[in-house]
Amino acid sequence: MMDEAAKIAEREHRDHTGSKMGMWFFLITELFFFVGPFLLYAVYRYRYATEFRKASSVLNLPLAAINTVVLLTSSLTMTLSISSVKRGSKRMAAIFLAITAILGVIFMSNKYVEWHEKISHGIYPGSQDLLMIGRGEALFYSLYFFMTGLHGLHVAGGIVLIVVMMVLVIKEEVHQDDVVKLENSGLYWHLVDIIWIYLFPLFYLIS
Amino acid sequence: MNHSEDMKTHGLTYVVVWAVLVVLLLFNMAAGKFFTGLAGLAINISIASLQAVLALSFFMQLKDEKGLLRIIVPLAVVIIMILMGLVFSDVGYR
Amino acid sequence: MDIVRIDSFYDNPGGHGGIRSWLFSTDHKRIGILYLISVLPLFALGVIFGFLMRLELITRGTTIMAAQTYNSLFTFHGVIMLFLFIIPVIPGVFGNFFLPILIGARDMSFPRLNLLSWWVYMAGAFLAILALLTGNGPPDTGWTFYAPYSLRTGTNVSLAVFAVFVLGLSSVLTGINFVTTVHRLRAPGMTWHRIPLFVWTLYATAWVQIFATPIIGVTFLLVIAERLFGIGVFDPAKGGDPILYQHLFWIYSHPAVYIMVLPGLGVISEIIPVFARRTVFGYKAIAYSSLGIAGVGTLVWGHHMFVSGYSYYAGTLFSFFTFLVAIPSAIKVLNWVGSLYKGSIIIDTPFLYALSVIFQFSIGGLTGLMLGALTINVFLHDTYFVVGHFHYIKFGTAGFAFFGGLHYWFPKMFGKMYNKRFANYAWLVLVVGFNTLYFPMFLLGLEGMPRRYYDYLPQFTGLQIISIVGSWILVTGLIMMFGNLIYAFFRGEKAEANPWGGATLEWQITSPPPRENFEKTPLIEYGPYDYRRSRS
Repeated sequence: MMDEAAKIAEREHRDHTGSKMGMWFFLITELFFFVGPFLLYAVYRYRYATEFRKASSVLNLPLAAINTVVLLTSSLTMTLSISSVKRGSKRMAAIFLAITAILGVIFMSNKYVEWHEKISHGIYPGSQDLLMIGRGEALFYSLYFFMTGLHGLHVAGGIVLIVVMMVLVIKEEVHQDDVVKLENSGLYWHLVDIIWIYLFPLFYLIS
Repeated sequence: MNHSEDMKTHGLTYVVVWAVLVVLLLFNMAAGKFFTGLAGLAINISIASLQAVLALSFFMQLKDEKGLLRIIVPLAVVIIMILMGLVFSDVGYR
Repeated sequence: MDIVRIDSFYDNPGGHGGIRSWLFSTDHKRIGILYLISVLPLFALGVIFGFLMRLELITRGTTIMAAQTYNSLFTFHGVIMLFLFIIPVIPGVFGNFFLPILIGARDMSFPRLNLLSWWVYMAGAFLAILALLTGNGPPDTGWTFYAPYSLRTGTNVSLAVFAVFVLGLSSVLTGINFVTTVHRLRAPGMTWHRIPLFVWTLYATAWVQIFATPIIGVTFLLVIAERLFGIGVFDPAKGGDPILYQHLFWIYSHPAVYIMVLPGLGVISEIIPVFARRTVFGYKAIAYSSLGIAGVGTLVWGHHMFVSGYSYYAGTLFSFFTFLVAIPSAIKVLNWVGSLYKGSIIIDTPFLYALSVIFQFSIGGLTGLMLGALTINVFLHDTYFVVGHFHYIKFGTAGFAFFGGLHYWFPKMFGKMYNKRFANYAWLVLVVGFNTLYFPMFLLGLEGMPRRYYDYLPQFTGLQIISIVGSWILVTGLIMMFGNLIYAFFRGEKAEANPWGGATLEWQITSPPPRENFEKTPLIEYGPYDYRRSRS
């Protein structure tokens, strides 16, 4: 017969592995969420190879390359913040999280600049100009806006998540012995980075 | 157990991984300039996949996982390839 | 003799009582009940729509509604029945209520996420009702929302598909919860080969929910983006390919039909050994067939597209895989029948439902094979044959399995027993009604009557009328069945802990179960269908 103490212990015991598993399953759903548009991209690039190349040349490669480095660096700082918590260094953890969030904001700003550039030149879904140019190019831009837009929404969500984690770290609700929430947030952030790792060459490096 | 030492090594590992990722990015951009068509696409995807594997293994610590979590990403990739393959069995032939 | 009264999960020890203790409960059993009471009115609405559709067809031409209304009715009949009833019902009601108990756990891995799943489901239901009642009226595209019509019609397509997107989120959260729970919370001694077969099906279903649902989520987002922002990925006028819409749609929606049917098959796997008083025949085969159906079922989606204009190679591949997926399905049927052999059969209401499921699933499965053959499909695609086939699976199998599960687990969930004789009569009326309604559809389809048609040629009148009369019998049966259960909920006799003599864990605790499920964590020493050892 289980006594009260054991019962309480069992209830209090947080299943860290289970929590991590749940997060991974959620990441798999995010992965398959992006698979749909990636599939469309694959088919349309196969069909409209030349138009895709032409449309891609109009995009702002340097800015996107910088954005890629920004995101890769933010993954590094995210990982380092987790290491800091595990080491018991609350200050460094919060600092790394702040940097991660700032890098995320920089990514979004660059994205805004990029989009603004395109839109002010008449390149946006449903625009008159898009109706004039070839269908292959129009499809490229449709996919470009949809996929980078969807990705951007995920980055925005991630930034909010990181700020929340920063608060929890400062309040010591995330600490050396209970770092799962932060690790799970890290997993999410890295996935967002990985999706960009694929988006970048597919949209910007078609020579 | 000396946490600090372990973490320092770990911290350095992460920075090295980051550096490799950036270098791979530069390779990818260079490859994009020199290779066109299918070859270019294949190289781009391969390099991107290498970057993804590094991020998964080190940043997301998959190399330390065992059991279900270890195989779930490869499993997802296989499923995705099958889905693409079946769609292309249509798209490629009409 | 009960000296000490064990509180059931319906009681509220201290704290707040009333509605709030239900709406904000993280107790998986309460959440199961919440799903039950929210799903049933939506099911009733779906039945009413179906009934009205049938009624319209009692005469050729206009009978009681305009063609546009008819199109919206069959669209919403599909949307409600699939996304608001069949996909959520068995996992949401029986899965939530019984999964932790069946594996000897106190609750799910993520109880709060579980509650969120239900809240998201309610949000999706609300959005769907909005799409039905407001703005430019309910969509008339069919539940399949095929492009380009879905991109161009003025009806509430965006709202409706967004509702399905939200419902998909609920499904995904449930799937994540179930997989994690089965991996992490099995009681000591409960190895993978000792978990009940219902758990195997919930597990396989949960994986499909995780992998497949996001794809339709993003596809519907693309449809919304196309309607609102004019991106042209599916619209041929803009260089898009409507067949790609079909691919993306069915990559989810085919596995979705396995989400619908697998848990129902799991319920039957639970019922049969209990009423045959013997262990199930081929436990491992049945268990792995669930994974097989889920796995191979992900590869067959193109069989909905044989006549869409896609390549012959794709058609051949999809037909091949479709035949392949019949194998694990057949294994289940054969093993159920094998489980009756040399059994000591007790014919009670749950068992009657199981028998009718075996019969109806066989018909549904065999007609599915017919449809999977390319040459036959050319003639039968989009005819009543298809309508008959999928209703035998979704209603005749999944639906009847749900009813069977209701009758099996009613005493456990509510602590009361229903009038079994009346329940058996209701079952008979249902079986007669169901088969009278749907079997003629195979004949109508073979004769060439197209589906989703508001009018028809004179030669189809006879069979249509038989089918419509079947619908009246069916509705009568539904009223009898639910009426009986509702009466029992209020006035039924108190039920014992184990009225059927089951050997799985839910029967070893009180009816209804206590809040924490088990006094102490059970130690599992033998399989779930070992009747040599059970006390009853």
